[in-house]
Amino acid sequence: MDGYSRLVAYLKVLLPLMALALMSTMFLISRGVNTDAVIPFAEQDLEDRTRGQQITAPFFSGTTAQGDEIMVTAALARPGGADAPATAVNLEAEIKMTGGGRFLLSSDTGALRPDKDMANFRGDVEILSSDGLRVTTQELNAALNGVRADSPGPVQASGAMGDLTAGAMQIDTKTDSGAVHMVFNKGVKLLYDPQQSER
Amino acid sequence: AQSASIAFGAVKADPSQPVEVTAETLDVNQADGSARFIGDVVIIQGVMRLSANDVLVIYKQDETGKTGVERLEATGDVILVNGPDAAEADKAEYTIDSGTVVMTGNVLLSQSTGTLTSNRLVVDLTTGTASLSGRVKTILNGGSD
Repeated sequence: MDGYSRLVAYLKVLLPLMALALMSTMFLISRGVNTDAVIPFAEQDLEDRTRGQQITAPFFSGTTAQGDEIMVTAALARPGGADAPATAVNLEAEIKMTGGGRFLLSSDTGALRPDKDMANFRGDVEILSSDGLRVTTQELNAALNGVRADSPGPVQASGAMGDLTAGAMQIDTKTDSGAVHMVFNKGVKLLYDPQQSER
Repeated sequence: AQSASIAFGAVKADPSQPVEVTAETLDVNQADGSARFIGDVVIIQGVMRLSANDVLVIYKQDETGKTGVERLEATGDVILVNGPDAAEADKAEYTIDSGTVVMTGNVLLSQSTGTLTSNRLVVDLTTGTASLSGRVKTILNGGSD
C-alpha cells in the first residue's frame, strides 16, 4: 500500500470524526433560547384595566327616520353608573345626510346616553361640515335619532367666508324633509379678509 | 331716465381691506352652502358702513369649491354710510373685490348739498363716485349754506 492510499485511509477515518465533533459542539456552545416570552404589560396598565370595566374602540351607529346615518366611535368607553352616563375618550362622530353633505365631529371626551338618544361632546369639540366650514367649541350636544345638535357655549368657525365667532350654534333641519341648517346666534361677528382669498 | 354722477364719501375706499360683518344670527344652509345673516346686520369696511335686516353671502366658486366671498346681497331698509354721505334703499348688492355697491328700490341719497331720490344708485367706493339713474329727483335745501 503506497503512501497515498495510506493517507486516504487515515482521512476516511479522521474527517468524519472531525465533522462529528463540529456538529456536537454547535449545540453545546450556542446561547440558550429563552422560551418564556415576556408579555408587554406595564404595572400601571394592569391596575387601570382591573379597576373598572372599559370597552376599547366602541362603535355606535344608527340611521334616522329620514335616512341620515350617524356613526359614533371612541378610543375608550367606560360604562356609567345609575346616575352617571357612560363616558368615552377621543370621541369621533360622522353624520351622513340623505340630502348629501356630511358632518365630522370630534372631541376629547364625551358621554353617550342612548336612552335619551343624546351624545354629549366636551373639550375641544371640532365640527367639519362638507361645505368647508370648521367650527370649534367647548361643548356640543348631538341627537342620535336625527340631525340635531346644539352648542350652548361660544363658538368659533372658519371657512370660505372668513372667520366668525358667535354666542351659540344649533344644527337643525328646518322643514322636516328640508335641508339641514347650521344656525349661529347670540351675536355673530364675521371677519372676511379679501386678500386671503386672492392667493 | 337721466343719470347724474356725483362724489360720494370723503375718502377713496380700498376694497382689499378686511370686511367685518356683525349680525344677530347667521344661517348656513348645508344643502347648497348658502349663508344668510339675519337681524340688524352691519357690514363695515374701512370707513364704509352698510346696515340692513338681511344679508345673503354669495361665494366665489371655482373647481376646488368656495374660495372667497364674491358679493353681499342686503335687503330690508338698507343704509349705506360712507364718510359724510348716506344712502338708503330697499336692496343693495355690494361686490367686494370691485368695491361697487348697487342700490335699488326707492333710493334716497342725502348729502350736505341736498338730497336726491331715484330708483337705482351705483356707488363706486374705490373712486368715491356715485351715479343715480331712473326717476332722479333732487331736493335742494333752500337757504342752507
